[in-house]
Amino acid sequence: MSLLRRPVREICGAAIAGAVLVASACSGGDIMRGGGGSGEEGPLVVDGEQIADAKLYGAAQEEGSLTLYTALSTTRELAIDAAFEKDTGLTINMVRLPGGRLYSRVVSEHKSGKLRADVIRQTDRGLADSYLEEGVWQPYCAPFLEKVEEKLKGPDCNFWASQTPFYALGYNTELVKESEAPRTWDDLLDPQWKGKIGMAYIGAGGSTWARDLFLRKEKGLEYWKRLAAQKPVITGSAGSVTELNARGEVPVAVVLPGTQLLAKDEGAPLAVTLPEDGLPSYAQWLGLTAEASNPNAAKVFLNWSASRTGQTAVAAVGDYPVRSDAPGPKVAGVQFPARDEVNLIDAESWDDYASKREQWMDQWLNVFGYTPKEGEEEGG
Amino acid sequence: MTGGTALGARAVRRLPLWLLLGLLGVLVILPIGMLLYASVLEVEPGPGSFGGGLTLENYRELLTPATYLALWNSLVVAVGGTVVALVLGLSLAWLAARTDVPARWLVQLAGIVPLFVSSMVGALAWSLLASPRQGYLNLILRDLGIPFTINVYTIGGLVFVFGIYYAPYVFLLTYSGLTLINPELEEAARVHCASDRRVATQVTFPLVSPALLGATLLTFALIIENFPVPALLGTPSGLETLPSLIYRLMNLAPPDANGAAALGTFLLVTLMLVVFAQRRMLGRREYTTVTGKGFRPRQIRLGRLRWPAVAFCVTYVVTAIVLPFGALLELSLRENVYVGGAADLFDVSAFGLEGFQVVLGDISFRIGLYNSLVAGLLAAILGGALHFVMALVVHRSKLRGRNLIAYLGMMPVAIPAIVLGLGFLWTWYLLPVPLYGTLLILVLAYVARFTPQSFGSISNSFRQIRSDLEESALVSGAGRSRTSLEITVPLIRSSIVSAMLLLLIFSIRELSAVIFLFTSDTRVLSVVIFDFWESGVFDRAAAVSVLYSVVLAAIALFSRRWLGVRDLSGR
Repeated sequence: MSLLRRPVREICGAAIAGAVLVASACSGGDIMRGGGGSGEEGPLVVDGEQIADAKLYGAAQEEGSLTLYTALSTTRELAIDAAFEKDTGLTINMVRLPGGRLYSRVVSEHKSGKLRADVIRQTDRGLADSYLEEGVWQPYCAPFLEKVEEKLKGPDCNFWASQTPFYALGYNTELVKESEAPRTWDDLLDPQWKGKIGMAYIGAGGSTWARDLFLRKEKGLEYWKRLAAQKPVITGSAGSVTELNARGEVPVAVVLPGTQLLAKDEGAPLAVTLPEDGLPSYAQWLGLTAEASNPNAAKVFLNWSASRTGQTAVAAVGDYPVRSDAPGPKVAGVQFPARDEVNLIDAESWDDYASKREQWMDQWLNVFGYTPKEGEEEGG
Repeated sequence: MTGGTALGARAVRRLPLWLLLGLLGVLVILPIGMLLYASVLEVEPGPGSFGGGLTLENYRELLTPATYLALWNSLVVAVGGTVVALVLGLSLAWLAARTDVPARWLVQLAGIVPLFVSSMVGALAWSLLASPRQGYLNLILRDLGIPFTINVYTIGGLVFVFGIYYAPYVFLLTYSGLTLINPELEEAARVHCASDRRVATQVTFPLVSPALLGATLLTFALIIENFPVPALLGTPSGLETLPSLIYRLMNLAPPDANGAAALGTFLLVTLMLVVFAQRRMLGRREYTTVTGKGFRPRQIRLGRLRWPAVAFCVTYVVTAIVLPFGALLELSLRENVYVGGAADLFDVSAFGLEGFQVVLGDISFRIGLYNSLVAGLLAAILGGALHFVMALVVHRSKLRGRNLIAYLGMMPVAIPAIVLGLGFLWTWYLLPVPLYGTLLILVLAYVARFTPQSFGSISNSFRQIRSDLEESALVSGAGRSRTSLEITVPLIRSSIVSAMLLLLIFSIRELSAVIFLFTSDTRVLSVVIFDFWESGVFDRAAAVSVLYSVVLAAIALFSRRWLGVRDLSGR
């Protein structure tokens, strides 16, 4: 029971999603509902792909809406959901919480048999796997999944990645010339950036752990130490790094390009470079819950998410679509290369992602001064 | 037979007591119980976790340098912040209450205005003003060629921000004490040739010392448990306090709920010890200084110190209000968040109202505003009623167990808000009442959290009204209920209204108690701002902060005459 519940639809007007909406609306293509828009009877076809047959779509329309639990940033989730609502006429009740707390809530609700979510979207393979152990998921093979790499799919269609956001480097164009902007991870170690780098804290989520695991594995502990010696400004989330970068508090930063370019679109003096030595990426895992009370609407959402139009909506918020035949992200007029043309690093599929997590995160906290350096007393 | 009826009558008479104890049990005891339970559990509490293994491992894991460092930071910041707040708040209260300082309205404003600037908004604004590289003040200093950088992301920065935003609590708590002192006591000292200073140190301050100790205790408690300020100002430099460490543990994926519970327990025990010590120091002295007689306290002439006193107040208002709101407006109005130099700050052509338009049309702002108002009003109504009945039972009944109510009512002072929030979270995960995910759970958290302030303020007015007034009515033949209605309620009506307004304002300002309780449907304005900040949309966070403060200011302005800051001539 909630005192206030509104469909995401109303948010369409909100400018927060404006820029993205324009992009996704324009690329939405032709929608054919119920055999020509007449309503009940008929399949749902968008952009030449059948998203739901007449039976599923009819049942979904009966349900009318679905409940989505998500840890994706509000801005991006709303933009994607608005595109879905426009394409399908179904509504989404969105509940958004930060990843760790969303996990607690899902597990707790599930154990008491009161899980309200029909669909869950969240980062971190570790959490998706433990949902599997707890029996939160319900296997459902959406069409088009054959166009998705195996490592982006969980076992037996229980869950799969709808998109892979990624980290790159950003800079403030008022403070840094394009020719001087860092283009590799090693460039960040240049003495000129001392005290001028912004980055999110390692525990901000599975995403930041994937980023730092990549750096630790590819470049060694020494890289962490040298980066820490650069005295970066650490933030609680990837989004606030972009904010610091926009205000110039940090001239260069480790950023999510989508967030960075959406801010650029609003007038911030920002730009992005894609480091050639690797773009650490991570998955947003999506799946149907075992207790879904709107299973048909939920299935339409999952089908749509894997469809061309759904993947286009994902690209419009700056994340990489997972389908091999989808173009790269396109935000604020910037078109990124397709998935297979860039060096995306999927650290989440490495064994160390789970096995080294606790130990290396503690090490990171120590190296970056969150805990006193070994051998040092607590200071005053 | 008669015995049975008497027993029944006694049970009926004691019913309110049992009801109150039951309510307080759910609001205060149960969350604490859940916290303690979670701290010795191997998994996060939730359905199915009962009967799980118990362990002390969570406490052992606390013994790390990270905890010590956070504890040390917490103590330093709380002591420093309390000292600054006491000096500022008491000076302002004394000037307003007892001196002929000019522009008294300004002094009173200085004391009350920060009520509508929450510590979170203050911290947000000061991070814009004094971030080391691009802080607006630092840009100005740099352009003036002054080689000095103000860095608010430091211990000193935290102490400063705490000091200015907690001074109003000290002001409010001591102001009425200073105005309500029976001047006969001071006159008596003067008649015996005591100097002004001696009157102040030996009569006035001992008389306000309960208020002052209370203010110290409350300020220290509020600062050490404060979450938004270290979250906003400590994060960029990795500076953690206990509350922000708890938040970090809860935000790990998966969360370290048991570690957070153990740490919460530790913070709880620390705070309880402080409160206990303060209570011991206060003892059981009685401070009935307001009676049925009218009086007017004597004013001290400041002489040549009048204008420095005004300058002091102006500086305070500029630091706590003018600069922060200037900064928030600057960022909300700018079309480009980047500021190249001091001159850019004043370039009006770069301003536009678009930021506000966007926010006003934003669904999360609208939902937040609606939720804040509804939850705040509910907390004020439910809380006001509950706290009045509690005070009535405690101060005007002879029921056995009434002291327990008073004790439970004051207990949340020693419960850190963020810890209370954790306790609520687990309590309502487990209770079969589906309250989690609704606004009502936020309302209950507000009521529990602000019981000491609201119940305490109603209690104080009961304490200050000598029962001789009520006894006169009783002697004159009025019944108990008539006495209550015609003597007690009118006498303390303004304190009930004042308590309800405090509940309303405090609830709308609150972030820490509900940071674990909201979901996307039940976000309140404070959470919306925090979310915008956390996801890095500072310009929107700034715009919402301005609107949020306007809402609080409107309520504060409306309630000014009930909140203990009254025009002296009106008394």
